Amino acid sequence: MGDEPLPQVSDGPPVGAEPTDAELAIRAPHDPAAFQLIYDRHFDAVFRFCYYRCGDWAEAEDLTHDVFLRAFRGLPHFRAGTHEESVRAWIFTIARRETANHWRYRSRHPSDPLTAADFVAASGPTPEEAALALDDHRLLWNLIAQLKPAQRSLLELRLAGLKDVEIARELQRSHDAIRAEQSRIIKRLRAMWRKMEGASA
Amino acid sequence: MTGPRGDDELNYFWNEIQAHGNPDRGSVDRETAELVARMHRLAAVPIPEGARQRVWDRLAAQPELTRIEGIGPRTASPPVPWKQPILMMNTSYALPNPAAKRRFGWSRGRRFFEGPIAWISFALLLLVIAQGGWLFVESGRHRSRTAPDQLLPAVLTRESATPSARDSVTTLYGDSARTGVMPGPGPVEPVGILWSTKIAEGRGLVFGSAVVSNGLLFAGAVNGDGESGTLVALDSATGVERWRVASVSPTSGSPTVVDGVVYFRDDLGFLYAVDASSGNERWRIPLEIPASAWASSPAVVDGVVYINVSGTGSSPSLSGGTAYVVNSAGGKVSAFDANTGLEKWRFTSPKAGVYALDAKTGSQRWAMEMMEIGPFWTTGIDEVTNSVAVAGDVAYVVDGKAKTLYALDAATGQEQWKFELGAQALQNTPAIANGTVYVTDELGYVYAVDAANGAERWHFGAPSTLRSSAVIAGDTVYVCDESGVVVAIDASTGTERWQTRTTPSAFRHRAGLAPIVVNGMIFVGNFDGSIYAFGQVFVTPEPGTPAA
Repeated sequence: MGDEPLPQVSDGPPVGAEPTDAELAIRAPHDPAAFQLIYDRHFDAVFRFCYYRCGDWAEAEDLTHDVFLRAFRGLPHFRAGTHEESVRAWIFTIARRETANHWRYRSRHPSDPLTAADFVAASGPTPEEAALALDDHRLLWNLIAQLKPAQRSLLELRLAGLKDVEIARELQRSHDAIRAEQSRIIKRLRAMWRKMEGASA
Repeated sequence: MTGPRGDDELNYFWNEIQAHGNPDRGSVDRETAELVARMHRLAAVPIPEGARQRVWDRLAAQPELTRIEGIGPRTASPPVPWKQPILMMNTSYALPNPAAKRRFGWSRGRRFFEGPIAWISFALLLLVIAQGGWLFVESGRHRSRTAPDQLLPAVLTRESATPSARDSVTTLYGDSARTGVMPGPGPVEPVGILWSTKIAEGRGLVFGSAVVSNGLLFAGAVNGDGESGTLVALDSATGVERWRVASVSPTSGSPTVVDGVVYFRDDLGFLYAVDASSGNERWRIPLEIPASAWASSPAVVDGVVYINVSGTGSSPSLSGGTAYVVNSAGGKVSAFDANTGLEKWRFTSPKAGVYALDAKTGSQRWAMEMMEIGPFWTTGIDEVTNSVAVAGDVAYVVDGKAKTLYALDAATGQEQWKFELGAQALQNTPAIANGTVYVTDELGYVYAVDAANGAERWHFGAPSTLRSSAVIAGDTVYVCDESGVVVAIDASTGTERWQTRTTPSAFRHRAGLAPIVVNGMIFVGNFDGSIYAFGQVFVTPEPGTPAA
């Protein structure tokens, strides 16, 4: 009573929990803070996905900008469905479309062709680690580039941070099919890795 | 590691490595685990410094985003009235509110009716409806032969009067002190439905109380999609709709009308000010994120709007320069300038409890801890809507979880007495009149308690659960229960005067938060999405019945 501090309350769920993506998406067309929260939550995954697709950080920035701008314009017409992850899946649908358009454009304007070997890792904590990581990443990207397009799509979504359930929803395939496909991808990559190591030895 | 089980193990390992970085590889072979780990490192490639901010800066410079920046409350620019009435505005913002979906279980329902048993279910439903309708018609006929019935065609007996301040209930529970005292008078028997108007879109509901001002009734609604809301203005005498505006998310709370402006908030955090006569929007401001509050209503006093930003759905009470609020730990209450929407102060509750705040500065005067108010277990969202009722120098509040009514010194918070209820009471605000406190609980009891010492005077059992508050007009207490029955009780003796059902259909729907009683009429919101007006009716005599 009075101005004395209140005694400790031991339990009870915290009020003020993080809003869900669906709640934010309702507010975002009117509220820049809500849209910025959506942006902050999904920027890393979308940005990396764009980078994996185009292989250049500067172009990935352009693509990411276009993805979020399209997402903002589409928010009033978006229905999240019953899944909490659907905002993320929806953003990735936009991202896949944007990057596909980008690839189409690049294939028709081949002034600066992209190859898997063009991928450059960002700087690591030390120059040695960065160099090692660079080699590691180049090797992996060389292998990934040899996968079938559908397998590569799946793997790029996985690398962007989506889990199997989200990928299944995004690619409109069953959960079991995605899991089986993942196993086939790993098996194929492993075989290629062995072959490459055998050749280098 | 082959076959479905191997797929599961690899998948589990991959999910875990994404979530936790370095999980136990279990039965996944070393080479595969190493390959997945390499890919995870590839996935975690560091993002160039500043990229996030650069992309955001470009986005924020886009015309679409700069346009919405101007709407915010914290800009110093004066409010710009909307040029067009916002009739049916924002109807495209139809994104689901997961909490609302959980509330009604609609997401499960849709899939159910897509199945092959849809036709059988539909046929069974038709049978049930036909049976219910037949029973209802039969019971209606029976009643009409024996006694005058409020469900017969009603004729308005009340003469239309010029609206005056006496005809107004401008905020939840009658006044900003939330005393539950209505201007009245209540209707004279026989009481029946004068009109009903559906205001919610689709199969929505009305939860908050209506308010009446200057011949117009204002009420909010949760639309049937569970995602959007509506605020409607009706002619209070006839129920004819004058205008409606759409809110971004459901509007389960009550509006407040002051000086020709209607103030209300929606459940996910926008506060609106609209013109009472036209529905034109004056301003809207986004509250904090998250700002969920079920059925929270503003109090508007001396040009300041007080509103729970987040936490419970409690509605602030104002009396003697003090704002009283019930909130959960971390819940927030704010004060906004009624003309501009600019925020004046914000208070965050450190613990669950009742807080008395300086209305000018928001500084805490006193507090009393209450049991933690968690989300309602069936819906997962906070449905506590208890408010503090202040009469004279005493503040009355129900600790809903502790099943206790407290009388506290309004100036110091010192407990004067307490009264134990029979059940929890999460949506039950006390009403005070004539030295008596009237309070309800979820067992369905109405208690009359001596305001001086907390001694029980009488109690009355309503037909069903009471998740609503009592109000008082003259010498009559009014409650509406979970089965949609409105009951009038003698305030001095606790005996029933009359009761009537809100919905004339065979299905019973829960009534809203509290009725309002003004100018010989009672207005009640209902979970069937309609507003019902009750008053004195004449009963059409059956053909052949001799005149009295």
